[in-house]
Amino acid sequence: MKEAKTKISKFFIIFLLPLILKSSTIIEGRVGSETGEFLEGANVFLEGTLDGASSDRDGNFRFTTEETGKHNLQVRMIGYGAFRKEVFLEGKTIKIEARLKEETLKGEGVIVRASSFSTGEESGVTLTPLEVVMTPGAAADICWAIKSFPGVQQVEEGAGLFVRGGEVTETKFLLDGANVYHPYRYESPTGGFFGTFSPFLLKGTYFSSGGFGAEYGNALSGIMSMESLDLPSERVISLGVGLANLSAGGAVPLRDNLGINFSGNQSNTKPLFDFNNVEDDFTEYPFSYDLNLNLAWSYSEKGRAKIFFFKEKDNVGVSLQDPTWGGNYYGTETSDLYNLLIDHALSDNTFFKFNLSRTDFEKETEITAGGEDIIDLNETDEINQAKFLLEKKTFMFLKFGGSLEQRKSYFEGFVPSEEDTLDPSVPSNYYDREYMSYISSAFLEETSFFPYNLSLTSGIRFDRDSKSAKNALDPRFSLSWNAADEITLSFAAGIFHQFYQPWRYDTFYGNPELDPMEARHYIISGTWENDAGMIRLEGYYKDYEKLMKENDTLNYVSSGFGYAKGVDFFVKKSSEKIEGRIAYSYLESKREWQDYPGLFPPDFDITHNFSAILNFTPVTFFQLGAKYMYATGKPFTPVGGDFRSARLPSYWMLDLSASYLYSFFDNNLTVFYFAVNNVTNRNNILGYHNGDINEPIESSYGRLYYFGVSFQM
Amino acid sequence: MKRILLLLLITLTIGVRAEEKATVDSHILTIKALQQEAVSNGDVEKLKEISTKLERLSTFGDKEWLVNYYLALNNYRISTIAYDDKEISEKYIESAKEAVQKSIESKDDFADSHALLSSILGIEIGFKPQLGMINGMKIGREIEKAKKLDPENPRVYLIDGTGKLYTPPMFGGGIDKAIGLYEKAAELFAKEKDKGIYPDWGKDEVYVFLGNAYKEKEDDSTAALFYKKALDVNPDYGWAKILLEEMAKPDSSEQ
Repeated sequence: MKEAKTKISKFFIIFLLPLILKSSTIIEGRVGSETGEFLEGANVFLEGTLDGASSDRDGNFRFTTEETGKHNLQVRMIGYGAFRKEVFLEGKTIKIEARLKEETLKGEGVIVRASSFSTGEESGVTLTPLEVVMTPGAAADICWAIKSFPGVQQVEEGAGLFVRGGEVTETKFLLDGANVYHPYRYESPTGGFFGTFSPFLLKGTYFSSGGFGAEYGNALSGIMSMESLDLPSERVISLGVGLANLSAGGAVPLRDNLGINFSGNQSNTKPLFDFNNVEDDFTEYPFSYDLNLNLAWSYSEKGRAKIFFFKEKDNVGVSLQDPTWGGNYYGTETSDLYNLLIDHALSDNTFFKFNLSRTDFEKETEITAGGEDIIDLNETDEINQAKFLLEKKTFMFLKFGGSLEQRKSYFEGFVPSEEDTLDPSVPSNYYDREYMSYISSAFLEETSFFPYNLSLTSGIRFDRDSKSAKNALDPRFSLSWNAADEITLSFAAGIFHQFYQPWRYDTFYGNPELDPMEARHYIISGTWENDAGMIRLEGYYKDYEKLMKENDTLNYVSSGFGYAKGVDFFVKKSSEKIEGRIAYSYLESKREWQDYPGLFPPDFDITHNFSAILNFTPVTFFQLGAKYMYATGKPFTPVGGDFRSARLPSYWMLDLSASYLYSFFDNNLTVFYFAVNNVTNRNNILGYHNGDINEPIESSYGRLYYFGVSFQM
Repeated sequence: MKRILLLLLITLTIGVRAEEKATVDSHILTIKALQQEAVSNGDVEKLKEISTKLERLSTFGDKEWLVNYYLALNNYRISTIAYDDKEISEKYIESAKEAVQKSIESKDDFADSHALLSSILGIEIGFKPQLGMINGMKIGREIEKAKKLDPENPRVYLIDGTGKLYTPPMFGGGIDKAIGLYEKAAELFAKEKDKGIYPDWGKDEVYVFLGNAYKEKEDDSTAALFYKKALDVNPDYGWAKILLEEMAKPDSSEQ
């Protein structure tokens, strides 16, 4: 009997006690967004029960549950992706930190397609600052991140955006609608090494690789449109320190309808190169700083105004090693941009935008050899611009806009008498010229929607350049068909013109009769897209005319021509923990321009361009990233060989990155990051001195380790 | 003693299971009543609380499709009541769309879900006029499917009527078509009985929409009659009260 009693007691303890005396567990913690903002009103609960709580103003929550054992905790909030975590309930307090990922409103992709020049917009990619930062190997640079999308060719180790067989200047940059003429830092003929604007100054970036609408002019190939931050909703201070950078910034709401965003960044590459023991040729390490002030004011329910100021300065010195001569390069540039934007809703469906902007740019370039100046040039550029846009969205869309731009350029100094030739034996010319030109533009665009999910956008654009007294008229259209819920097919065609910089029209050094360059785009595109991912296939043909060709008597004439054709393929797939994208571009581009003796592939004819990016988030606070990119080598003319008959070895690189998020105290978000660029230490060849394969120009970017921390509160 | 304990254990276990099984149904019944009350009062905060509860209930693994339907309906209600706050309203309509699509995914033959989806797509156009054509086609498809599935469902005609009311005649809409559909809905509502855990909302609403249609026709006296009729069906119906009060104002005809 005693034994039976004992058994019953054991039985009682094991099976019945948990039912009768349920132990209670406290679950508490905080809910925040990925950007560090704490979220109010999130629904935190145990799956399969009603036990839960809503987060308070500071994102905190706390609740008690009688449940025991293994359970799933879920956090849900409208506008954010759900968070799930397995918890084991055993009476001990459980602490949870949940970061929710903001969701773009579903259907937005559809709008992007239907709202304007469909194929152009379809070719577009919208990047958030976070996506830029999370692109491995992109050094938190927007242009570098964009280079991992299809349609952009890897031509140089820098930020330069060469789009679909177009030259680097054929991609136009805009910030809040204002033209940006100096979008790169450490400017070079192939763009520059970095983009001018840090992703943290921006709300988003839109990139189009062709077929864009009549709204965008004076660009032959691509559009990179950036939008600065809006009115801040709460006070944020951020600090960052990395091997090559120092940054501080913040956002302060001054009133409900008035706020300010500000930042300062300094980039000094010396510690980065020293730490990695890189043998380099810098006589002055690349150094830059920038300051930004952005005042946002919602002056009424219908309108907002934004004043944006940006200043950037950079300098670099390199020793130049040519087989026949040695010398030094030094360059410094400053760029100031002021922009006033007014965005006003005239009615529920009529919108008006107005821009007033000014850019001041100064650049000093010096190349010396044996104590002699080969180049010693000071350049200033002043651009003033006024622009408006009127939009009406009803059963059809109408867009009408115009702009007037004044550009004053001044050059003073010595340059080699033969363009693009650096050789102490070539005599220098003294140059002292001032140019001024006006570009006036207007456009009209209309989108109609038809049965069977068809939409047609047609537009026309007019530009006039006062310096050359030439006009350009660009008709463009795009047809888009939502063949099924997730499938869109489209076709776009149009004419695109681009004027030269004012100095090309110089009567002595250039030719005032130059016509604007012209490209005709024909694009066919298919996209399959749903919540889980996207697949896009595009084919295009671009016909180039009126390109600049060297001429013995007139310096240059507009008789150059060429073409580019290719296929771009893009896949993006995301799941809870893994996000990946693959971009592949096939391109064939040929030109008869500059000093080419016939139709030949230019530097930017990169046949195959491939990049794959994988971001893996095993736990919410930790992320690993990898990027592999491959590009066919550039064409070049070998010693004793035919013109542009050989190619450099292929360019490829593998980059890895890791980041860890941590919160030291309330309202704090700290990100630790670590990156290894060029993991395999691939020695990429960037060119050959005078086409001699025994004299390779090697990349100075071997394996590079980089780390830092960013702190936000 | 041992037997007694075993019996106690079995009873307790069964009791717990039975309680869990009953939970979803009884919760739905409670929520239905609370939802109706919150809609009558235009109480967004209450509706948000209900959404919270429904989100939790949707993880119980029972009648998920129905819970998701009510979640969609609830978020749709929030979106329409808070329509002036574009940001909130748009977020809730997107969330409603997601929930109703989930409901349809698990149960494709429930007419109310298809009708609700068509109404949600209509609201979406309000935020993104450019979706007019794309959503317009889907709205037609969904409502036709709903009619096919349940030709006697009054909510399907109510929603179809509202869609027609806001569609220009050139795209197949118009006030008279809307009135015809509302009248059909009213007839069906008169026959509809309490449907337990299944949706049976709209008995009062249909008269408000009839009133609105007549208001559009500038027939204020008929409109007022219908608003009053809505109050006869549901004396607490806040929207009908507001509309009647507005009409009673001396300058209402100019508004």
